Amino acid sequence: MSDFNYLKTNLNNATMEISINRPEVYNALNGDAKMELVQAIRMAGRDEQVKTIILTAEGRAFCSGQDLNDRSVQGIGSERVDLGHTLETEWNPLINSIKNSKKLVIGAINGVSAGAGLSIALACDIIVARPGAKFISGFSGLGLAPDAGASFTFVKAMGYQRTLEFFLFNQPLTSENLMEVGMINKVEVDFLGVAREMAQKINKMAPLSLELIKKNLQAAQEMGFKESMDNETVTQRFLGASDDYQEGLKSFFDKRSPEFKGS
Amino acid sequence: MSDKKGSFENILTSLPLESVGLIQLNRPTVLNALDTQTLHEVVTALDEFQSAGIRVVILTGNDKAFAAGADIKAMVEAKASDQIQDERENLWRRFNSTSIPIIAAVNGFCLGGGNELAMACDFIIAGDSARFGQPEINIATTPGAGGTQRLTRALGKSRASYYCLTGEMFSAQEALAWGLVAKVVPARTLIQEAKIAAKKIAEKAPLSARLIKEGINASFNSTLEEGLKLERRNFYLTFALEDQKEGMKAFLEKRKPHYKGQ
Repeated sequence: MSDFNYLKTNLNNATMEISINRPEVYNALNGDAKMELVQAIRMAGRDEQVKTIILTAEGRAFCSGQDLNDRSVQGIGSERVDLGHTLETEWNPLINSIKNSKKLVIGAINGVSAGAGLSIALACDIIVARPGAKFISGFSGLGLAPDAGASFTFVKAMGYQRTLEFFLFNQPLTSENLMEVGMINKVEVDFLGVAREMAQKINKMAPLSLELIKKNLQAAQEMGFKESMDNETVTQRFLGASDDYQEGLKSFFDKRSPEFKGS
Repeated sequence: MSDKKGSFENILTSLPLESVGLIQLNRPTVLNALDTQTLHEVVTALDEFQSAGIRVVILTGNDKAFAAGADIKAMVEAKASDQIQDERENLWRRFNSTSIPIIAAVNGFCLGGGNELAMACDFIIAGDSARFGQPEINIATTPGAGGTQRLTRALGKSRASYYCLTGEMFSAQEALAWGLVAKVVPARTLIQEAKIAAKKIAEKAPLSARLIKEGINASFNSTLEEGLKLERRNFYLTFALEDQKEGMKAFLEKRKPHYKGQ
C-alpha cells in the first residue's frame, strides 16, 4: 500500500507503522519527505482500521531534522531565505499532525534525533527509545534557535537553566537522561517490540476515551486548573453518554474484558 | 417541523430537545460554502422554527467546517449588478431580525461568509480546533456581510484589520481570549455543550430572552443613552407579563418556574 518515496508504511494488527526511510542521510527530511509524513499520519488518523500509530525510522538514526541540501533552506546568492515560511508550511504542520491526531502516536526511537528531528520524536504521545539513543539540538551551531515546538517541550520538562544549556552547547542528551526528566516512557533494547506491545494494549481501549485523554492532557499543559477541570467536566459528560461507557460498566460487573466499538 | 424535513436540500433540521431547534449546514463536499440557496434555507428554517414556538436555535456545520465562506465557484464570473440584485442582502436582514436566540456551534473552518454567519448569531460556542478568519482579501474581494463590522466590534480595530488585511486565520483559543466566542470546548463535545446552553435558555422566560437579545443587539446600533432607554423600557415591560410574576414567585417559593411565554 506504500506509495511513499521517503517512508515505509505497514499496517500491523490495527497499528499503522510509519518508518522514515532515508537512512543514507540519517533520515533528514526535505520538503517532500515532510509532506509524505504529514499525509501518512493524517491518513492513518482517518482510517477506521487503524487504532494506533507507531513512528520509527530505518537505519541508525531516527531523524536528523531539516535536510540542509534542500534548496529552500539555503537561499540563492545574496537572497536570504525565509525559514519562518519553512516552519509555517512544513515543520509546524508536521508536528501538529502528530499532536492533533485522534490516534495515539507511539515513537519507537531507534537512534539519534537532531535539530527539528527532536521535535518529531518528542511530539509523540508515548516514546520508547533505544538505550543510549542521542538527542542533539545543534541549532546554535548554525546560528539558529530551536524550533518546531522544542523550546516549549524542553523548558516544560527540564526547566529553564538545563534547557538553555542543552540548546546553547549542543551536548547530546541520552534516552536515559530524558527518561529521568519524564520526557520519554521506556528505554528498551527491543524498543520496537515494546512499542508494538503497548500499541496492542491501547488498541483494545475505547477510542473516544483515548482521543479525549490525549486532547485534554495536551490542553492542560497550556491552561489553568479551573479551565482544565471545566474541560474534564465537559468530556466526562460526553463520554458518560457513550455506548462504550455502557459496555465498560457492563464488562466490569460481568467480570470480563470490555469490547469497545468507538461510539 | 419534522414533516418539512424534505423541503430543504442544503440543510438538515431537527428538534433535539423540547423547544430547541437545530439547523445543520449540510454541503460537506464544499465545506458548507454558503451559497444563496443555503442562506435562503437557513432563514426559512428559522422562520418556521419561530412560528412553531421554538425558543432557541442551534446553528452548526460538521466536524470539518462550520462554513468556509461563500460559494466562490458560483461567484467567479458574477458582476456587480448580479451582486446588487442578489437576494442575499435581504436574507441577511431577515436572519438579523430573528427574535429568538441563535447559538452558533462551530467546529473546523469558520471563514468568510461562514464567520459572518456565526457572528450574526447571538453567541458562538467553538470546538477547540476551530479556525476563524475573513480571507476574502486572498481572492481580491472584501467581507460582504458584516466581516469588517462585527469582527471589529469584537476584536478591536487593530486586530480586526490585521486579520482582514492579511487573510490569516486565528484559533478558537484566540477567539475566546478576544471575546469573539463565548466558550471553547473539546471538539467532540461541541453539540452536547451547545444543547446544554440551549436547554438553559429554553427553560427561561421566552420573552425575557427575546428582550435581552433585542437590548444587546441595540447596543451595537445606538448611543449609550438610547440603548439604556430601550433597556429600561424592556425591563418595565417584563412587569406587564405573567412570566415575571411566576418567575419571582417560584424563586421565593423555592420551586421551578412554569413559563408560558406570556
